[in-house]
Amino acid sequence: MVETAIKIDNVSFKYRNADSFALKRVTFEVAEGEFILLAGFSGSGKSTLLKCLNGLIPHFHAGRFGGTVEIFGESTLESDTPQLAKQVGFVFQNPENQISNLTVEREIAFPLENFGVPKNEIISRVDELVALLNMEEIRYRSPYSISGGEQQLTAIAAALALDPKILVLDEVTAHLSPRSAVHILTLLNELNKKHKKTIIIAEHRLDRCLNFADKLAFLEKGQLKVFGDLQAVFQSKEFPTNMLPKIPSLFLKLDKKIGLLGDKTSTIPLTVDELVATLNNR
Amino acid sequence: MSLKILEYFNYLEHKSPMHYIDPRGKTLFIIAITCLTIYLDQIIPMCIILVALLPLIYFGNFMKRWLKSLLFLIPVILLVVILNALFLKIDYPTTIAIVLGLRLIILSGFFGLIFQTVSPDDISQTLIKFKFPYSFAWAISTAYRFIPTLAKETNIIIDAQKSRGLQIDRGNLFKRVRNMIPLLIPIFATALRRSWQLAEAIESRGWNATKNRTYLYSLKLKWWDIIVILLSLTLFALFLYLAIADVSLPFWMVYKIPERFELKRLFLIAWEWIKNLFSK
Amino acid sequence: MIEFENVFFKYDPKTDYVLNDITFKIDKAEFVAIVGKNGVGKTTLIKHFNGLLKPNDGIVRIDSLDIVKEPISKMASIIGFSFQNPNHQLFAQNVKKELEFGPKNLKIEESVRDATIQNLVDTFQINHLLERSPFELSGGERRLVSIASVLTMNQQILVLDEPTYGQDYRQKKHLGLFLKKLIEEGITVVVVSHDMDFILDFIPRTIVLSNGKIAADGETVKVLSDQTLLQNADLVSPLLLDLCYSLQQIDDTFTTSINEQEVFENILSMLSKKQKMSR
Repeated sequence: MVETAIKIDNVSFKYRNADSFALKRVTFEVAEGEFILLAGFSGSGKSTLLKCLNGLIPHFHAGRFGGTVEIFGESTLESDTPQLAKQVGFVFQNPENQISNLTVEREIAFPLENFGVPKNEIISRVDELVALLNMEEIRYRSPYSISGGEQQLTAIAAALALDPKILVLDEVTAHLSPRSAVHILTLLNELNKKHKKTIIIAEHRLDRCLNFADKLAFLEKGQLKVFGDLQAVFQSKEFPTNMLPKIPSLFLKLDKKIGLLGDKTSTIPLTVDELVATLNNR
Repeated sequence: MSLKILEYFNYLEHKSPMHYIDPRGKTLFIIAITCLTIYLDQIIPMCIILVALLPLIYFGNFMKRWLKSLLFLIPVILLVVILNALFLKIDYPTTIAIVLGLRLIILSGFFGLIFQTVSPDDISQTLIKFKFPYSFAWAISTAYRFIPTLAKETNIIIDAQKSRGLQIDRGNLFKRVRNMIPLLIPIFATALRRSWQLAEAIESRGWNATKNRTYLYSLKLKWWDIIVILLSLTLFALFLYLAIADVSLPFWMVYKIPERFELKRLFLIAWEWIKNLFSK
Repeated sequence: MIEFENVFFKYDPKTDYVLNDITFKIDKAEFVAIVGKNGVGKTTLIKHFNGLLKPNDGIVRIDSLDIVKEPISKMASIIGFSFQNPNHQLFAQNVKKELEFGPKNLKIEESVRDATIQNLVDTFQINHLLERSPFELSGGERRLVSIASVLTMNQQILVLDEPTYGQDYRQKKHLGLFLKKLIEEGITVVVVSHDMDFILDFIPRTIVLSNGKIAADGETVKVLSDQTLLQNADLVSPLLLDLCYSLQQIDDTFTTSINEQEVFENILSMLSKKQKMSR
């Protein structure tokens, strides 16, 4: 049986000094090994929700917090963010402002050092991660002298250092060039499929994630509007049409005009290949 | 323009043999050398120290930059030497003035070399070795880590406000200070934002998760560090011996510029000569 | 409006040219995108527009003024410059003062200034923000205010560096439509961007920089359909283009396009043709 990795139950949060709640009664569950996309317009509460997953809310950001978040059955109210680092790796949007050490290698070692891991184990773990993410060339470089994509790669490596089962990413490709963004997303897919990491990512480039994401959660003004597998979400009326990724959007337009769904297929094609196959079979 | 400064911050990526010496050894060495250089007031010992300094500077990859900085320093040093030679009211003023000049050259070399090869990382690790709290050491190396970012950002901010018509170097002092406001506020605001984001990031990486933090790298004395430390201690002992026992140096080390070559005398002769030249 | 004639530039005499013999021309009321890999010199190029950088060789003319001879403060009245990160320029106590900063620097007459600002406030729909501090605005609002605050000087040219960073679909569309409106008013707009979708949706002309030279310059749809060019510019090929190529494999008469409406029509005609064949 697949275990529940994240259980979010009736979570609300209001930042101190804010006028309104950033999250309103959000409830959903993520099973171990799932790849979840978190979508929503700017200011819809995506970052706030993600920060609840490793206890930054309510431990680091003060405010009114209600409901519970459980990570593998452990409530985030009981352990603080540093403790949760073993379960949840967190990667932030700004590549530059999350690397505090003087070299890439040091940054990867940093969480292990914090947990008092013996030196020889730190070295072997760093070796492992550098090989996994192909970072040999930048291993001894200073974070200042590498590109944004490489900085983000460094942050992912650091988030993976303690081998957490869950990886949370907050718009990590927003500051990257399209090529680096695709590279990072492909890498995340690999971490999910090969290394069984549960991944939850807030992302604007939905198009590039459809071939590997399992589920999508759509937030609007702090409320969870739709949550489910991609098919269900894209067919749902709650999901705004202007947020639909290119291929499903094109297909649904075609469907409206000439009726494709329900004929031979009941699923919306998500990728170029799927759409071509659907059209070809017709 | 100012981005050139940033090359210095890529320091961790260029290693020289001098970089591998333990910072504690280097600090001890510079203390000993400084004491000796200041205590000794003879030309020959100064020259010996200077000659000994050259290979160190060479191996520290510092020769080029040192010579460049000397280019600016030499006029100052010459001025110091000449003024002292002319106006010091002691025996052999020229000798003392030359010693003074040599001292400045030597100290600029040693201090430059040490600044060049001791990284903030070394400093923070030394602090950790001396039982300072880790957060303190972390703050030092992180501040350093963000200097180039800050410099880059400051340049962008200056460009942005110039593009909105801000003229930074116009007007009287009061106006110039006022002109700094549109630069300083964004600089502080972004720095503040950054510190929040950094705090979130390190929390998420397990900051202070355990009391017994380990380190990927920590300072360890190698055989060559022991040599450096012993050498420094020997030099320091020599200094103490010379200073406390008040022994005089061996005769071959004492050389004084003969009286007939005193700068003051040469100067007066030249003066007379010129006067004669014009009176004829 | 913007003219580059054999422009050469490098930061350091020992290195290669960052701009190596650049020649191009942008007319009044044109809407142009500049794309290229990070570090290829896009920012260097646009900094020549208002004299933040001056060419080593060659001529840059803005509104027929030689930028070498003009002070930046004068250029500021002709060309508006919006940098990537709004946090790098917002500083005033409130949005109104932020908007007034530029015109005050240029000593623009108060009545003219107020009229321009009012006009901008209306088009950007930021009336309700005027009394608020720029620091308490959301990211998207800050972006709008920062763009508005460089437009207050009635410039003829607007240059934007990565204006869509961190913006969502809705905000991008808002911005795109606004820029189009500026073009209609006769303003020239140059955008440096990596955002394929934004460029495809709104910007008709694209210049690709590669190795200090102009690798391509022309109609966006044509430029962005060239796979090798895209690779050189650190861009990924648009999904619609991939789709067209794949559809060509099953029907070699399928015409490629990266315009969504056109692709839609093409698919419809392909399907109807197929239906006739099977009958």
